[in-house]
Amino acid sequence: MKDTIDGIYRFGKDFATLSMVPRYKVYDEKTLNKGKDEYRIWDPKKSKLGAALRMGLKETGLFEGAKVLYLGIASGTTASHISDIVGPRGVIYGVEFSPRSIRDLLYVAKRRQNIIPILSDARMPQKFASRIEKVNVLYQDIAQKDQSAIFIRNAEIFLKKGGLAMIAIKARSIDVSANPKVIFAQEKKKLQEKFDIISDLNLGHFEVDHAFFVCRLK
Amino acid sequence: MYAYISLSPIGLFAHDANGKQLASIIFKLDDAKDRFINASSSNLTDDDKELIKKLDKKDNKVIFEIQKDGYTSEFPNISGDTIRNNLSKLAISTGFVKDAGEYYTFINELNSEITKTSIKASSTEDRLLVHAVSTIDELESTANTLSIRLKEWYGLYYPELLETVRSNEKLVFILANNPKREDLSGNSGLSMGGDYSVADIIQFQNYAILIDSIYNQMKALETYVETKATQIMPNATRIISPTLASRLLADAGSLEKLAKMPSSTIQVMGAEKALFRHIMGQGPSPKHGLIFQAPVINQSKKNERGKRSRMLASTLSIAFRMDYFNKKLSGGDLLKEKFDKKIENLKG
Repeated sequence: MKDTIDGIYRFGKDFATLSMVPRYKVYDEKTLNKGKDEYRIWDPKKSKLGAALRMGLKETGLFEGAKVLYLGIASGTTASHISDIVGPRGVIYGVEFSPRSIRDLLYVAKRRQNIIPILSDARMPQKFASRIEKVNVLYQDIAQKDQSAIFIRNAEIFLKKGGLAMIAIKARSIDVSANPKVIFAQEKKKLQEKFDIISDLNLGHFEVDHAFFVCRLK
Repeated sequence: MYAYISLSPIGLFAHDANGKQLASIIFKLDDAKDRFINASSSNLTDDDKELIKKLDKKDNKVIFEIQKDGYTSEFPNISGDTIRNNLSKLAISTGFVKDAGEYYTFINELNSEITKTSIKASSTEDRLLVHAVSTIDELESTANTLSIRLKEWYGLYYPELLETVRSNEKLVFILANNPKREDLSGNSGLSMGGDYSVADIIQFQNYAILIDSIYNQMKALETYVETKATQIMPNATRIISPTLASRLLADAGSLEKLAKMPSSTIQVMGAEKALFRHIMGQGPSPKHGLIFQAPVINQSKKNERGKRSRMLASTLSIAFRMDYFNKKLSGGDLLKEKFDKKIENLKG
């Protein structure tokens, strides 16, 4: 067991986070008990950040007490691990457009007070800006055609200086017929106009036709 | 001089162009939820008015960050940008809360409440229809699956009946009422089936009763969908059948989505496989999807179907928009008239 990345532990090839709410499972994840501590194994098939770690992600920008803006939080699978990492002193502002997904998130947010559920459209930051604050980390996972533009706009408004921004890009939602590699290159170029790209990963077999970028605002 | 105004969960703030705070109104923790929700609306609230009053008369031009009727707004503005920098510290220094823990508990509760209200508002009538249509499909496939077993089972006892009654629904109905060989008409001479006891036969019957109730539930839902669809989509149902209209609705997910769709999408909805095959460059473009079920298309000549599908889809897209944005608009009749005329012209 090693803690090489802030708040993320390694058990063999698996990654895990130290549960903030022991004995309460969010998505039927596997758990490991070490003494009094319960570690929640991060399922790479259910979480793109989990997959990115398996594919060699080294820096997430997340730390204990960090403030995070999560666009496309859905029902809180990935967010629950981020919630473990940032802990009770951190906060995750979770924006989700689907009423159905956020309904499940509300139950998670009740147990994990550091998750703030916001039903809104990430494309329109003016609709939720007055409810949130600037953050250390921006995380985005939304399957939209203009996902890079949404990412850039939100980073400009809400990301603190020096903060990291992570994005999972789904090639199929940008163009179903084009070669994913071409799309990733084209999206990378868009991101490079505003960001320095720190890591550039392909999520491989965990999440087909997905790329994962970690960026820092220029 | 301009005064920039922004809203936050702890109160309202006004800053000048350099980010210097000009005035503020800090909510009390007890009434913050209501005042925040109130101030989020596009109307000018009492808190807004009071903040404007607090500003120096020279700062007569105010710019809000959120939209307010009759005022200019700019997003993001300097005021919002400044307070969002460190809201939790600001909440403590203004005396709104004692510590960060108290602040985030408040923020969690506030947002959970606003989100719950929005979820409630998203449960509209059309969503009921979407599920009703899907339920009908699932019941149908379930009834068919269960009927296969019933047929095999009953075939041990009286296989001759299966030969005469081909429809699952009819067979289920008969067996639910009386499965006894000797009571059924068309029973002539020796049966290939085994001779089973009453206790055995009653098992077929109970199973048939179960499947029959599925068919009954399906019929009840179909009637419900028809009435509901006519209510929710009065204009679209003038042009196509309520069943087809609700199928399109179920495929789109909501009336809002359907209303915002281009007619080309409505035209090929339900033919996604063919459409993507075409986009990948391996097939002709589909002419019609679900709308093929409309008699105006499936009962027409093959070479006219493409044109008719386009016309129907474009008429429907207008009808769905009427239904979503203004149900009372009685444009459905006019649309139908125009559509019929177009189809008529096509023939000539």
